[in-house]
Amino acid sequence: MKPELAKTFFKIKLKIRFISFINWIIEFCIYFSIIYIIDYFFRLNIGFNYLLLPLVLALILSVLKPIKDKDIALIIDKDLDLKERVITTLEFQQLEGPLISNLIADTIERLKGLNLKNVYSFKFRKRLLYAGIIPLLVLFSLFIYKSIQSSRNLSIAEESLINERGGEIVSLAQQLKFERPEIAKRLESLGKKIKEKKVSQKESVATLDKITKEIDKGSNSSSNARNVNSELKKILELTTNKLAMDTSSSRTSQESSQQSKDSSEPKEKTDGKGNRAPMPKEPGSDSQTNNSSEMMDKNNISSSERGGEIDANQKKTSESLSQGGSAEKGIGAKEKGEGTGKEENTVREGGSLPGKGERENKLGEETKRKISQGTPQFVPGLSKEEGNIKIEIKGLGKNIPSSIPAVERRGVKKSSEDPLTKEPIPPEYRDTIKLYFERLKGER
Amino acid sequence: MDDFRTAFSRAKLEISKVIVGYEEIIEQVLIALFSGGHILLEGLPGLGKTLMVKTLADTLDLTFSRIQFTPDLMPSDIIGTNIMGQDRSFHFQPGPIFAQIILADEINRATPKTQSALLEAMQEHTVTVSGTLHRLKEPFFVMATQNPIEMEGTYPLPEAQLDRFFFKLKLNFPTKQELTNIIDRTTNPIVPKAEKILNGETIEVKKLEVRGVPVATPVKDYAVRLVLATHPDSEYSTPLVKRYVRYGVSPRGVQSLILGAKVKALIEGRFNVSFSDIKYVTKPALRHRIILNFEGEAEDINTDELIDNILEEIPELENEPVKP
Repeated sequence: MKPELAKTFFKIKLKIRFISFINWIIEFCIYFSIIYIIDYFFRLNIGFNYLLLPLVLALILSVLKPIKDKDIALIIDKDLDLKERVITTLEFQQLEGPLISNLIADTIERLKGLNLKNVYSFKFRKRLLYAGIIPLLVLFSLFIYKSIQSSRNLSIAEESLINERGGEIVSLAQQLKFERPEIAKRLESLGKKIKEKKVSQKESVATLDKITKEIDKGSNSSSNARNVNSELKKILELTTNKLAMDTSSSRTSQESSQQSKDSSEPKEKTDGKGNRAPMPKEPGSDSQTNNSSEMMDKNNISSSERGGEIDANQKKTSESLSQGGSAEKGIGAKEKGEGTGKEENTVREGGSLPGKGERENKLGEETKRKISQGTPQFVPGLSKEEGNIKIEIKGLGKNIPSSIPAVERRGVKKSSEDPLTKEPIPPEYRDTIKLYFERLKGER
Repeated sequence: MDDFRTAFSRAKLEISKVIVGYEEIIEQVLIALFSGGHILLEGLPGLGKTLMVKTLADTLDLTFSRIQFTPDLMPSDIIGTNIMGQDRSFHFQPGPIFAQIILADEINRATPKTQSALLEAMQEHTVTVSGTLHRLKEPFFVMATQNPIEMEGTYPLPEAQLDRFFFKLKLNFPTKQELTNIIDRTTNPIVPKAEKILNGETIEVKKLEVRGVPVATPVKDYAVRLVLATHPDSEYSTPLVKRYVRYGVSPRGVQSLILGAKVKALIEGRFNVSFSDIKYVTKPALRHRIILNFEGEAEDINTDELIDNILEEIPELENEPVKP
């Protein structure tokens, strides 16, 4: 190659390598942005070291990738519209003659004057454009995927909450079947409707409010009946509150509902400072039904679970309704043994297990802790002033934690109890059966 | 090179003084002249074919003769013959072909025998009469014309003879503005006349200069692929070619392409041939060398359409260069 031509060609090569290096960097940066997009969605915690990779790869490619003179000549001729001057010069430079020397001089002149960067880099933009589309597609797909997933989770969470509430109301209705058949019937119908999603949560809350008010109206009989009505009213109010809470929390986001579900369970087990008040253990509670003890036991295992609260309360009401004044026995009774508080409305510190430590809050009062949505969490149970219920807690205690998840255990229990609770007792046999069981109780 | 460009531009300008319009045709005629080829002009009567050739001869300071081809025209009428002189010996009486610029008017009206006499002279630039070889004076340039519509009683040129024409040019009817200009130039008392710009010797030097223009391998490869694409059984042929073409372009076609492109490059002020030069001369160089099959003839396929199709389908570079 003639010296002047060789010099010009070397400069062009150098420029091309530099431009290709810049282009490679941009291209690799675009590709590597995909990693950071994925990191953003899946929280992979990728460090910033990855930012060096495009630089290194671009450097390697732009330096090591071979460039043929012929290819460069053809590219320049085509991209800069040099009408095949460069490739012809490259091919015929060894020949002599006025035409050839004129051609070489003409080519060198044109190569010196051209703006290689603009034209050459412009040709890369198409590729960069295509490369840029890929991260955008990844971003878009991940966004779609995440939103679908979160909406699905949200709907699952909502559905489970609705089913739970519906189930609670139905089971409450089952327990009130004999004592308050008209309310039981309405509650059962409401519970079924909630389960089948035939009523909105607002409507459910309104219906429960209505039932609660009706109980108020009908509470002008004996003091015992008033107590029972009061208990029932409290349970209904609690259920109403829960439904109202579900309405607000489930609509915000899946995460928040998940948080509200999860927040109490592990904390109560680990740090022992849960807000859910365990039920105080009382002496002389053997006379209570197995059903009641089972419920308390369940409450021991997962007092954080909302279902547990309502079941316990339902059970208490059921007892007070069925045993009449027997619930009053617990008023002012002194606790004995491990895990009992000094007074009935106080508990010791130490977590969800019954009777560990003291706490500031009275039962039924709003605790200091707030869940993420700002909805107050209530201490389950009944306060001393209003509730005259004696509750016995049977359980294995804190030393032997349950190996079965609370939800699972509750599900099994419920499925086994459901057929029994749903079994209708013919009205003509009710008194006979009641008498039979009372007699058995007396024999004990 | 600047001399060539200037000479070409001046010749073109002088011809344009007399001929209205047809700038591209004039350029292609000059390209064929500097390439050493001959022209077949196809157009309706009265479009200025004869005037163009006469003006060219005037501009180039070359001897000119016109031969009106008729069915009874004999080869000796063109070539010349030996006649007995007063000294009772035979002397060669040269025919009209012994000129530098020949206008073979309506060449398809003469018999094939007469046509072939002219075509031999076109190819060899020599004439043989009674065993004696007579060399024609250079530059020797033939412009044959033919009427595309009056085909009765004509002898269409066979493919082998068509192939000897460097370019086939088609004269279209002038536009409204051109017609007005024709009236102005030809009906006034002062008729414009072209000045002499070049002589025969200069043209011969320029012809040699043209042949020295370098052509890069990718450009040559493109010309070759274009020619191969006109062959229905070639790997480069397009579906249209496969359907309508019987025979493709001969090797003379590639020569015409390259030589014509070389002249075009010099006209454009370049010292090398580019793809655009090849494209510019593709139609005039190849259109008369493509022989249509029966289907093509029946469907009245124009070879220009086939060439357009080939130019669209065949890429300039067979293998795109790898970008760094």
